[in-house]
Amino acid sequence: MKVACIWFAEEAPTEKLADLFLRFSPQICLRKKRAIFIEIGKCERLYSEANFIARAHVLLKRHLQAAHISVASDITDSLALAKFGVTELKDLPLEALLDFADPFDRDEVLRKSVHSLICSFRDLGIKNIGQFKKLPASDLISRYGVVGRHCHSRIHLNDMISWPKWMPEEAIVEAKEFPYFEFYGELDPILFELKAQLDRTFSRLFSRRKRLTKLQVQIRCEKLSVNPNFLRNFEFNFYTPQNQTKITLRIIKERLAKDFEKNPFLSPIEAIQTQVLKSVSFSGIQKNILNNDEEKFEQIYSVHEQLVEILGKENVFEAELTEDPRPERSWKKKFGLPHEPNENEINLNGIIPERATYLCQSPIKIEVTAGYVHIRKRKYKILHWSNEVEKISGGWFEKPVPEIKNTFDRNYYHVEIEGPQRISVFETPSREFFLHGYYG
Amino acid sequence: MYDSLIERRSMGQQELLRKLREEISSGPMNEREFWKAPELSSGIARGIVAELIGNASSEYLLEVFRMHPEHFIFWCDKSPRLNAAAVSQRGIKLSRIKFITTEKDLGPTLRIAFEGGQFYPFIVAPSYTSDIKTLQRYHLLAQKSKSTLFLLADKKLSSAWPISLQLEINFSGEGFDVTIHRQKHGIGK
Repeated sequence: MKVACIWFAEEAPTEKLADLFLRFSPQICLRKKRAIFIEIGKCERLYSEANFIARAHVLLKRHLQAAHISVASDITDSLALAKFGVTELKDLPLEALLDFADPFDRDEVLRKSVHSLICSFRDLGIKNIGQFKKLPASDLISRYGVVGRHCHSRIHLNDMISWPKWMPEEAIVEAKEFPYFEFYGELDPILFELKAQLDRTFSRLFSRRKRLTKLQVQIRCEKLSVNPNFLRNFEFNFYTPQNQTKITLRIIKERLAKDFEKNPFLSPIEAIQTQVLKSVSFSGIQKNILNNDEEKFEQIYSVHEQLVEILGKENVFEAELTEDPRPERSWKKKFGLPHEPNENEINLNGIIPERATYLCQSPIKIEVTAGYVHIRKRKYKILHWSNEVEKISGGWFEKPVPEIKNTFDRNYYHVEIEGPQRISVFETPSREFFLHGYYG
Repeated sequence: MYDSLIERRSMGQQELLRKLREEISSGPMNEREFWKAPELSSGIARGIVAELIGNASSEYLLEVFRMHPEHFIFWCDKSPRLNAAAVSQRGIKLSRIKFITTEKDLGPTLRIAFEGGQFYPFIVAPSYTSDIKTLQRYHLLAQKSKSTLFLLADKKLSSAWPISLQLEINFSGEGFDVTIHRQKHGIGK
């Protein structure tokens, strides 16, 4: 067993910080707001002790925390070493007995008894744990009873300490209040704070092997009579799971900028909070060192997300062919993942004649007279009327109700008119002509 | 550096302009990468704003895209007019094209497209503005991202200087009739 103890000199948000260390080991427990214990012995083939310490320091620095880290064979040893900043157990001061006896700071009565034991031993000239360790158990029991026996067994690692259960917080929430700093919804300071919060959120999500799909940003303003809507909520449903602050922040920026323009803040901002509403699991595979396809597609998804954010989902799409012979229904919008190769793409070449590059929104009725076509009351000379005809018919199966006629029967022609411009027109059985598209 | 600044201060404006022009012309020209394009031996440079007009401009673009099958395309329009079936018939995989339709200002959309420029080297949009500042911004963004922005003009070509290439493309028999109205690409490799 190898236990790493992260000891914070001052109270720290250990519940949140412990999340970060899930990437190293699932066996974690806490001592209130002062220490995090991580069992790293079972993962020694994945990372070394030195590597763990270096990475832990980096993680803590990112979260603006400083701590002492020690690794030892037991919870009590690692805690005492980290707390007192020494490398050898024998050099620990006698006060460390408190941490050996009650490493999770739970038993106030025990701590009191151990404290009086420490005072007595100090009077007897015993100053450190090294000296205490040399005392025989029988002497301790005869003078200090059960407390003496307990301290002896803890010092000699004869006790099996069970790890108190720790579960990661159900909701990932990051928040900051601004009690002294007044600002009225300028975008930059908000983004600055959001960046820090997103960094922490993604770091916690990464440790849980999750990616973000739904996020809530809440901005709380001072409650004033001029500003009845003092609480603003922004919910972001991400099209693709997010794992990077940079990309997510861009999307958030688009929405906030748009909203701030419409609804400016009328009272100072008091707090900003981000909360993960939904996340999905991902397989934490290692980065591909042979190509950067993964990053490339992540950035493409980011571009896609931003476009969806500013234009709406229905305006950002790819196209997919259908088997419908009508030009207006020969393709449909596809809203799946961007640029996903379609192995089953229909090959239209040789099946249907070449179609017009652009289609009219709906067919425009035209008049055809000798040598001319009349489009929207303008007369165009016909330069060439192709002899090739594309006949399409069908539609009876779409609405099989006798009174609703949805059938179609069209003869398509390619026509070249003055301009010169190539157009695609069709004729119905009732000898009516419609302009349906043009080549451009 | 300070010497040259002092020297420039002592010059008259005309003389200074002449000297600056000389300095610019004597420097090595930026080498550009070019897209192969039909009926245009020089090709189309990367990282520029190009404007196309004529009754075959879109068909010509589709032909350019067909010649570069490995790149994605960003196609903006005011409404979904482009016939995807026709695009597929011209030999272009539909999964390569991202279609964007918006009646709003195209500026933010194009900015995002340029930001993803390494993935969208071809950006197509209607020629909706002649504002020099806007076009200059696109020119700089295109230069930075090495994407080519193709503006499809309806009626007439713009006179704005940030547009580096202006082509008029019409159908001619089976091919294209390409007229160059403006070309200030720089030189190829």
